Amino acid sequence: MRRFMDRDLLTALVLFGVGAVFSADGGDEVKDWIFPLLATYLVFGIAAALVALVAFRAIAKRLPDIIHLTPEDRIAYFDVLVFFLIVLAYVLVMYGLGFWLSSLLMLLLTSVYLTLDKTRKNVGLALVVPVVACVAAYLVFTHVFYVPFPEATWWRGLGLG
Amino acid sequence: MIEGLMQALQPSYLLWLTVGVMIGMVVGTLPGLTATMGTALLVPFTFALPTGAGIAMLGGLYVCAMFSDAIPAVLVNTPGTPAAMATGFDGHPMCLQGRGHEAIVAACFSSALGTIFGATCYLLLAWPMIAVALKFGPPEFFWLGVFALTIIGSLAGDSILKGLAGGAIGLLISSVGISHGNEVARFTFGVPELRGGVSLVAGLIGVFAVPQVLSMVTQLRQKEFIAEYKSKSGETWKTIKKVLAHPVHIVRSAVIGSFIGILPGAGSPIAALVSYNEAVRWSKDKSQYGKGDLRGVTASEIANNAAAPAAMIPLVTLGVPGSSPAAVIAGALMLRGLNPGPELFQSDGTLIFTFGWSLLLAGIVTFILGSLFAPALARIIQIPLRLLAPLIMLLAMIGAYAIRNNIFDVYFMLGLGVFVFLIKRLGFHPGPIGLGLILGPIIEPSLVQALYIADASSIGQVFFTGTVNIILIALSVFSIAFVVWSNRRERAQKRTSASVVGQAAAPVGSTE
Repeated sequence: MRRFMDRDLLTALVLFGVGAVFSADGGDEVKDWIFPLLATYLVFGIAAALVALVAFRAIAKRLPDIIHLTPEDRIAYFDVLVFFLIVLAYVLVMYGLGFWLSSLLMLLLTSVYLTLDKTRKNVGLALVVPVVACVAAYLVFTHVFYVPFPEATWWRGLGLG
Repeated sequence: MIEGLMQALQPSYLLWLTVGVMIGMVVGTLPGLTATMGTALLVPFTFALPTGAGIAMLGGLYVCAMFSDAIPAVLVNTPGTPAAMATGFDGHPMCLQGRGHEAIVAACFSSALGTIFGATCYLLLAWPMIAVALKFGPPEFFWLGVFALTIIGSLAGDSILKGLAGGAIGLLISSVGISHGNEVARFTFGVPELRGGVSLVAGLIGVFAVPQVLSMVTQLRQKEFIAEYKSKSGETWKTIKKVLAHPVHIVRSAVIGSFIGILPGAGSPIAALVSYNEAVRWSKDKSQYGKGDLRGVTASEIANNAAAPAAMIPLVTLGVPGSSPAAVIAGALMLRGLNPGPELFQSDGTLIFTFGWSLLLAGIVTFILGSLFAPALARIIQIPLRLLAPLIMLLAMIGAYAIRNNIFDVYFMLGLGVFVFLIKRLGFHPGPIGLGLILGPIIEPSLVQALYIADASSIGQVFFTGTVNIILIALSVFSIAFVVWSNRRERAQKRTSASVVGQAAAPVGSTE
């Protein structure tokens, strides 16, 4: 069972998945498809080679290259998950709240969450830095580089974009 | 030529050049803002200036952005523009070793050297160089791309197979969108936003910045900062001496950068990647590349900056811009009723030479400003990770969005970023994926165009004849053979040293 956590076997599975996604589309015209087709064959070929390598290691009774998840890793990946979920929520509400308000909320939430040692000073920093960063980014990107960021749609009438 | 120099040295010209350099510093440092975008935004401001001063300002911005894109690559492993991808391979490990200041100064000085070399080629060798560049057609560009792909051997890390797979994934992602042959929609899966293809900049931010931010989050409980910053006196001069200690390496990187720079469509990213690859290949001690070797930073930065002035050579000699910022500068000239090309070279040679000298001076100004700001910039790594990770994520979001003002690019960047973060755990290196993303848009159109040419003759004649093709094929084969040979040698050396250690350890065990 441990062999299913072999790094090379998991890599092969990922590559089969990528190859399958890019095999889902195709056509007859050589010039349109030759390039992605060659790259897909390469991906499948490498995946097959890795499976063969894993099988050879199993037959030869060599130690597999197992991925280990320590308890510290689990905590770290939980932090990543929470961080990413906040970022995902930010992207989803961006059109409702407007770019800058949602960015400020994302920065505040992630900075406070990632502040493990929640002393008054650290939390204060986690609140002040996002505000300063958002104001600076707003001035640079909106008034210097004229990037048209999404405006708020949930309260357009209030003019809080 | 002397008249051009005198004009370029006028205080007002130098002032506008410095303004361009300073704007370039900001543009290059912020991922998502490219030199092309910066020059395009600056064009309207040049209308109020004399033509020479206006294009000097644009040139200054271009040259400096080619340096400052190294700053985020070094500090947070996120290239400011695609041209700095190779800089991060060694620049960021240097930063992790507390040598961020050294890496930035090396990038800055190398950029100045590269710019001076490229601008000298522009001033002295424009016509002979363009004669060679004209020998490059679609098959030659295809083989150049294939040759650049062989850099995977240097980037793959422990597993060549995973390096190749990463490169193939990058190439596949780059093929999403309308095909180059019969304009067929490929791999769009019914998503209209994918018809226009994926954004290269958003892709590179996804490959490098997002996994880096997520890695920072995983390290949060182990360390507070990216690395400790230690201020050392005389760091700038020491670094300059270290860079100058490798003259052959400098000349090789500058020649590669200048030559690739004049090839329209190839540009600074390819120049930097090929130069990095050659630096690794020709080095006697390859073991430190990818782990914080100063030569990795200088190879990339000399080449990508040499390519910037060189990209102006086809513009002023043939009227064909060698890069996107060169195309914007061509537009700025055309808006003033000046058509870049051989006629302008003859009718207003002073302007052409003023521009060449301005590019050279931009390299010097970039070095002065860059080395002044380097200590302050290097301190960014002392921002606590808990604050830095969200800030980089915000900049990544803005960068991915700003390039096309399309929220879909943000989704794509995030998805790709999480994918790369996860497969890094399996032993993938982000470099080959980024390489595939950059080279795909160069290799595929060249392949398709060459296949169209082959319709009128034969594939063998198009792809396998001609001096340039044969040289590039030979170089590619040599490059692959070299990677295989050096990997075998490395493995054999490891086995030998392991057996020596085993023999040395055996008596100790026996006495116990």
